[in-house]
Amino acid sequence: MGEALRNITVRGKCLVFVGITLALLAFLLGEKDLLRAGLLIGILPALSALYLARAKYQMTASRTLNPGRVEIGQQANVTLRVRNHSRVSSGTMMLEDRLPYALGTRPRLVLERLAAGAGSAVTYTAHAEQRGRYDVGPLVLRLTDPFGLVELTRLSPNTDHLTVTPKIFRLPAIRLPGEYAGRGDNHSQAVAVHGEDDAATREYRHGDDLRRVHWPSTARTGELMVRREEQPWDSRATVLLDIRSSGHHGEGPTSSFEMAVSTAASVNQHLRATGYKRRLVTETDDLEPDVAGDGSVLDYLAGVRAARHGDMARLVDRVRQRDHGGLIIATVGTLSRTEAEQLGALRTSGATCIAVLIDSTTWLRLSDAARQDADEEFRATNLTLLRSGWRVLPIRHGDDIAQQWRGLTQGPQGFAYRAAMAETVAGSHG
Amino acid sequence: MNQQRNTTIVGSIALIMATAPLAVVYKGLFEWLIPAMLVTAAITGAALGAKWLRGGPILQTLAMFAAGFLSFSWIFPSGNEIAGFIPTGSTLSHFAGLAGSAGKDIQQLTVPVDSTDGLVFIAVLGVACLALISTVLIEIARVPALAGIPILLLYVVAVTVLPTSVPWFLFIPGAMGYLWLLLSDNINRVRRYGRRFSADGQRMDHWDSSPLASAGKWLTTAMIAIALLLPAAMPGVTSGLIENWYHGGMHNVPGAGNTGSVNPVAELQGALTDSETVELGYVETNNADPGYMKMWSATNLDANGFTADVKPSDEAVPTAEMSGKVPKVSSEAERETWSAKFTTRELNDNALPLFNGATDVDVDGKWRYDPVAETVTSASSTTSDLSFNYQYTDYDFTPEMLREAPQVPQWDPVYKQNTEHPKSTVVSKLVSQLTSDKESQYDKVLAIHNHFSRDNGFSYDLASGDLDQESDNPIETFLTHTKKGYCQQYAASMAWMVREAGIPARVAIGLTAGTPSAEGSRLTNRNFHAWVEVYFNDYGWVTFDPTPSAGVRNADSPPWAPDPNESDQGSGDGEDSGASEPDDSGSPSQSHDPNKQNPNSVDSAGQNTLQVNESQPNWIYWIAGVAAAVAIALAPAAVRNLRSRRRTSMPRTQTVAAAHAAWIDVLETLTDLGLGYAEHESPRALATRIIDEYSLRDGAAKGLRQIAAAEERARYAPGKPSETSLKAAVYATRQGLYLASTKGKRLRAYVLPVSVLRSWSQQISRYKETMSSAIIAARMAVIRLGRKPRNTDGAA
Repeated sequence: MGEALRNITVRGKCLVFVGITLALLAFLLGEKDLLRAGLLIGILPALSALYLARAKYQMTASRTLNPGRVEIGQQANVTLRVRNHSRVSSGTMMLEDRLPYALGTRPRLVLERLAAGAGSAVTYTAHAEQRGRYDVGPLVLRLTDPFGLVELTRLSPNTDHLTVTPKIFRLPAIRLPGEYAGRGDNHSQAVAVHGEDDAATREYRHGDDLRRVHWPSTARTGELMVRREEQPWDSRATVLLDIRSSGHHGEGPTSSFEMAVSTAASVNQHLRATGYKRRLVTETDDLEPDVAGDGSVLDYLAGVRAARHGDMARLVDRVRQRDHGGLIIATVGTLSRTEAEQLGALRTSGATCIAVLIDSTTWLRLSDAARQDADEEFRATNLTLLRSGWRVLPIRHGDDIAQQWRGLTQGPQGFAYRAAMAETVAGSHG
Repeated sequence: MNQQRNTTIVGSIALIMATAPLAVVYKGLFEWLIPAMLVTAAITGAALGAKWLRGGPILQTLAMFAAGFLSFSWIFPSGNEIAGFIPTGSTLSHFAGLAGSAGKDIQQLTVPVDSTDGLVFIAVLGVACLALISTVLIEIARVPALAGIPILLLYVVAVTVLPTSVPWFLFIPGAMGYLWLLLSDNINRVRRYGRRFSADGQRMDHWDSSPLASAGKWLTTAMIAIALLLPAAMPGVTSGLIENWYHGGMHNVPGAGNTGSVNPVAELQGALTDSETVELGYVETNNADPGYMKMWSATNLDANGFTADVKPSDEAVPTAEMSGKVPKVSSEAERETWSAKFTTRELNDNALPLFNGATDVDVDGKWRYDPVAETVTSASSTTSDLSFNYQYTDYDFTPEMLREAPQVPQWDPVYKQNTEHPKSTVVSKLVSQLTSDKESQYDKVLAIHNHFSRDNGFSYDLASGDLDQESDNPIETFLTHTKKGYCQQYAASMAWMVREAGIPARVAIGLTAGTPSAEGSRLTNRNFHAWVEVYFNDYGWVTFDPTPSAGVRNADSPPWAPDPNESDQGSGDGEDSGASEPDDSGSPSQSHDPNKQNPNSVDSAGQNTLQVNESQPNWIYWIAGVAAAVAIALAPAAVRNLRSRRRTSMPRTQTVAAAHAAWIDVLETLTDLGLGYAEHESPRALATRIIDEYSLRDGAAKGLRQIAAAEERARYAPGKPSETSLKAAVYATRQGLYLASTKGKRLRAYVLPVSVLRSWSQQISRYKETMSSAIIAARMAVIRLGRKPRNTDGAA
């Protein structure tokens, strides 16, 4: 009762006030008729409080999310279960699940009556409009009397988490040029193209087939060497994500940073499907998920934020801290020449390095002159990376990443590559 | 949106419900109620229509004003409207005229007022304004709770206009309306809050009823009961704190009451409506025929009538010094001195009721004797809780004596003060016609007095009595046309006519002698009366009573002025009058009732009603009410009994039906006693379980088994006749079950059988369902009708 009385609404308070005033007036004027009206209005909130207090509400609420992780733009079903543990049936309850606004409007439900000991379940959908890791809940229960004079609020404190992952594009299943899938035959074919000395060799062991002796190496080393035909290591890939906010433009879900995160997620997903052992590196984190699972990477990508004072050098350092052999796929925003060189230096000989270079300036509206400068800058970065032996996948605003990805099949002998090489030659001579 | 609309409609219905107290302010009901409903409907409809047309708040408000105005010119037409409702200039001047006449009516008429055009106009205008405010509050400001203000205003208007208390039941509609508004607004708020679902997780549509509504109904009932009962249980709120303070202050400004905030007309009307009889006090005297007790004199006469002299003359002295001041009467008149004692009960006035010729008034308080008015009044003391003794001299004037009294000389201040009158050719013509052949002053007065006889068409009538006030000169109208009225009209008319004849006269206001009882003469508000005093040189003021004694409670006709109707009327002694109008202060405005100067008297003694039908009809209503309540309370039990009897007295030939009926009766008994059973339980299983659980003994157990067996047979092997009647079995079973239950459950089963209540509520909900589906069907039909032409258009 006390609690109910403390929770009289503004309307209730007004009625009490008017009621008391009328009653006082009635006493002053000696109008019993007025006293009636005063009592009616003044006591009504108390009666309402009594109505609410008659039941000691013991409500528990639980929540189930299905699924707990959704891609951006998809929906999650949230099931609320409310149970009335008290001995009297509850009155009308207003439920509000406190969702972050990024998940759409807060679901508001009206549960008309819950019998003693009964439970009820209701499902609503949350629309994931923005990448992130969200707390769903707590559930707020509001109990009201019939006249809206008293309102009790109960909080059901348990919260659940909903992860909204970035949008994942299905990348076409192409074989990356120079990709080492770990199956010997392919590899040897690949090397055959470029030259004969590239074969990996090892010392002859008893039982090796003599036909596999690699005579040039044997001649060089003076020991019997055989060609190695099986890769002892798994295919490995390192996915880099550039989170410097200086490299990205645009706000919110349509920003170039989101594009970068989405691309990284898509690449990660693509590599997982292809059976790579992956490593995800940003300048702050370094993740090495299980081959099968992608949960940790997606969870990380769901929550990753652009770093205000990002530094490409830090990212490169972090990559170097551990083994970064194999495929490197970097998703980067706009780079300065220095940054491009730093990134380019990551490539060791023979490794396939792909830069998904997001031209984040295209997310901005620029004047023609500025646009030209920006394009110039972008081309320079592109060239820098190409010179370092990277493959570059330029992404501009509105590009379809899946389609661009297909461009990788064309191999390194593109026009841009040759142009870059020519310039290098010219430069060195000059 | 739809829900907001509901709230708006509920708000206007609540407002109409809240006009209930006006029913006692106005005489008619439909004269003002129907226009008020029409105007409210027009205003609400305009607001909703404007919203439907996507009009903003301003457009909505304008639409409301326009609709209100148009409906006004339709309801109160001047005759020059275009198409009957589009107002023109003459409409406005007509409205102004109506308002003006309403102002006049308010001054002249007493509550309950007649439903004159002007007053209806004012009432409807008031309701229209409140409807406008209410709709704006609900529809535009979105604060339906504040719509209680217009509702409260209506109630307060009734409370202030009525001098008596507003009948308690008229409080209910307004209260219900307001709580309904709050409820429907809150239910809408809850519905708007989010998606509704029931306990089984099913989604509910917005028209599904909310459990809040039923809880709200219960709370409303409880709350109204509390609001009605609590003040009733609280004693003494009748005179307010302010009044007690106000009382002393006000009369220090003599005459303030005449022009002050208290409207004598309204109070008079209040007295008229009052059905209660208030005991004012008791008077004991050793005189068998003491005459009337005068409280106030009224000497000022204008076209509207007499006004009481609230302010004592300069010659007034404290009662202790009054003995020397009492006017002398010629020794020719026989006299006898009596003593009297007055004890007040509810009388609360600033004047003492005294028999004529009072001397040696022994009273507590600051009372002053005015030898001119011959009254004892006070500016600060009241008669409440007062008891006083006094002596008085009863003079026995004879007609001869009075006939010989010399004319009052014109220089006499008494003549000057008591002969002024407005000019009226009708009255002077009538007076000269009556008195032309009369010589003496007494004969002239008697001729005028006797003019008010049944033979001349005069009769006592309360209801038509106030009608003549609509005219500019009510007294003229009374004398020449209506000839129906009550004491104050008679007194005022006669006093005027006597003045017209050049004889000093005034109106006296007070009490008749009362009904003898063990404690003395019992005085009630029915004893209020007004009569005429005529001044005779040497003899002073002599009482004449022109009012037909049939209408006057405890009327007294002095020997020098017998009631002209007396011969065929018998003694016009009070309790009789089926005609039922004791006269009293509650009368027209010709003379202000002095009580009106005293706000106290408004509440207590102020219920000086003119209606005589008091305790007897009340008593009948009470009995009828109690009987109705008892009947309602016992109805479920009676129905249950009836059903049971019908079931057990089925003809033996219908074995199957009889078995079913007996079985159903047993099931209902279980329901009534709150003993649960499941629908799927077979008769035998149920019987066995019940017998075990409630350890039924021989008769009951046997009976129950027998009924179960019969039901079994009826269900599974019909056609095989049962040998015995199940009547005894049913009774035995019921008795056994009742005995096995607790006392409380038994009582409940007797008084409020759940089975009956449930079947009633099922019937009601079935009816509701039928109604709502019919409404939906009708709505669909209307929609279909509305769509058809559009389709054909499309086809064309």
